[in-house]
Amino acid sequence: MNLQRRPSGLGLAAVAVVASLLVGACSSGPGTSPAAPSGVGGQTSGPSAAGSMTDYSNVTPSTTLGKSDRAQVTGAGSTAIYPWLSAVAQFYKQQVASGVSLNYQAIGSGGGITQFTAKTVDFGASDVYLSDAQEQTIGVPVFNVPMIHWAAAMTYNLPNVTGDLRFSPGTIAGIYLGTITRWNDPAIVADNPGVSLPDLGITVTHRSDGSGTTYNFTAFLSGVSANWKSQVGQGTSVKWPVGAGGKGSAGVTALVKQTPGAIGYVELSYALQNNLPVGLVRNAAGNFIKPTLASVTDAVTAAIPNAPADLRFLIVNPPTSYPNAYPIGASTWVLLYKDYPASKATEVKAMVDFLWWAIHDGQNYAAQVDYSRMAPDLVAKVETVLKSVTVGGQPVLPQQ
Amino acid sequence: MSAPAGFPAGPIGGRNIRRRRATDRLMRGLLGLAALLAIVPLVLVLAFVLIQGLPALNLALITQSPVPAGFPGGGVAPAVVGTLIMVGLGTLIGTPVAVLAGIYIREYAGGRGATAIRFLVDVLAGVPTITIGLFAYGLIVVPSGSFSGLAGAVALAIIIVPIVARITDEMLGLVPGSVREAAYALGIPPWRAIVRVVLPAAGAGIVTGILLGVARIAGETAPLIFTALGNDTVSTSLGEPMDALPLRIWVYASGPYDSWHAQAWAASLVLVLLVLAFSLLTRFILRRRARSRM
Repeated sequence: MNLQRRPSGLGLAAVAVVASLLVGACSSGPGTSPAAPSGVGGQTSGPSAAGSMTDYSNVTPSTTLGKSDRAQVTGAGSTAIYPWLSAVAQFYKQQVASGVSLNYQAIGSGGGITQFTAKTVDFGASDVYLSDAQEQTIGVPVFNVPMIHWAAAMTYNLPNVTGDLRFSPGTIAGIYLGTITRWNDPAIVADNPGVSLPDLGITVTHRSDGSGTTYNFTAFLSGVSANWKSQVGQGTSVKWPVGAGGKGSAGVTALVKQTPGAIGYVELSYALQNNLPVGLVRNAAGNFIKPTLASVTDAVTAAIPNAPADLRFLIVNPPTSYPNAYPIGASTWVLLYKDYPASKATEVKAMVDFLWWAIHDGQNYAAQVDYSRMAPDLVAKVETVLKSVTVGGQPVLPQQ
Repeated sequence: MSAPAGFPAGPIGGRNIRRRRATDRLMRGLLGLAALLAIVPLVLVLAFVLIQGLPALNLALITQSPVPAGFPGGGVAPAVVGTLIMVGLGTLIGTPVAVLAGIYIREYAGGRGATAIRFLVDVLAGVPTITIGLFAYGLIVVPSGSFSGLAGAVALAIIIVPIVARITDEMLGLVPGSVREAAYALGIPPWRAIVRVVLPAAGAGIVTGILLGVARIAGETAPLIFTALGNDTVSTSLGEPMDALPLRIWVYASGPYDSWHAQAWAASLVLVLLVLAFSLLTRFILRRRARSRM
């Protein structure tokens, strides 16, 4: 506070200061805005890399969205879908509509449902469908639109153990109930003959936020463990008997990565992209199954015939008739309102067009980021749902 | 005058003076050590951010948008742009209110009123910033049906107001009463004395206060979570969700990807450099203005 200094016009100085900030903001805007990241990495060399394009006989060209259309679509929710959705949004921008920016914030399924209910986002995304009560709270008709399937992988940090560990459902329940506390517990040893397990405490990690991954994981545990069902139950957030919480799939992955002795459940790609080991889980048929695209697809195939018309179904604990199905599979739903206000026409048109692309071409990228594509039967059902989305009462997509 | 009670009488010198000098040296040393301890964290933080952030700091970081999770490359351009816009707008909204409020408290409110307002402003300064974010969420995000840069800027404006208002108040209090009286003696009305005499005298202090406020809100994460939300593409529209450096650092630092960690460090460095550059620029402008008046 230099009071001896000669008086200096305060107002002008303040204005100059703020003006310089704003000028800075504006000048850095145009130069950067449309520039999509150029090199997206070696793993993405176009649709062909993902395997053969599936021919959907009834694919109609969606909307007439072109390169010149500009729109920003805001969505929030599931962290599990984020790696796939952010990649697909990027490719959509590059290949279809460069003016459409999909801003997806991975705040967790619970957060996604909350913001969708508060109507502050264009769409929500959740790894568990909306319950009847939740739909009632929202107050307007909504759609649960499946987008992609994936595995909740059991990942762990055991520095000196090579090879993938095997877990029977009872062991996982024991670990998360706090009855199995050390890695050399007889139950884990019995699952893994020939593996030398360290005398190390198990650090249990789980999600601290409302999470659809948690919902599917606890649904799996409730299906296999009576103790779990009676003591904890299933939900997007439950009263954990033991363990440390991490925020989002990213947070749990980081916890496991940094803590020797830790175990956690995360969407498969988070584990694989961070070079964490992934355990095999025993299914109803008694086989230890590695979470892979094929084993999740098996679980999806098992669930589809019984999927209700509103597309609300789980794929955990597939029946014994599917001996190679992974028992902790999950899906992510995009949550849409049936009708959007006419003032949102541009955004909604862009959003539905993007989602249409995501359930067709976008599925080809699923394997690259370790997700399982939707079964063609399901895609057809989702098409019907997307065609029912309206803006100001008018359908967004061509009807036939 | 006799020596104060408890003050040892007797000749100065001998063992007594040696003991006093030793005490003096000891206390001086302790104070110096405390001052050193106060700046050590600053030096360490800066050094750490510099060492960790420099490797990932390049042009792409501030000119490119984020890439899909887990992919290499990309940058934090939306966060840089968003921080500049929201901090700029927040300052633009908050500072005039704050400075005028500070003037009112010091010059017009009077004893009891000033105490009451000061207390309330201090309470506002003590409200956790996450609460202010929730307030802005209820005030703007829910009614407008969209997360937005505007909501973020308003939250930041609410945070900067008490900081700048109290500093303005204090700075005006440092201007000697004789200066005001001299102005009145010339027949200048009070409002004019404030605008032409008191404010210029306190100007440098107030601007320093604004700088502190700007630095403070530039680093705020909590109030932006529920308001600006974040954005993976550069957005200059105040009605759309907007990214910010602290928000991006928070997401990237708590994530599992190594590329995220590297970019979080680099983004921290960018944030520190932005605040530093802004602070230096302001001081430079002030000094030039002061010189041009001499």
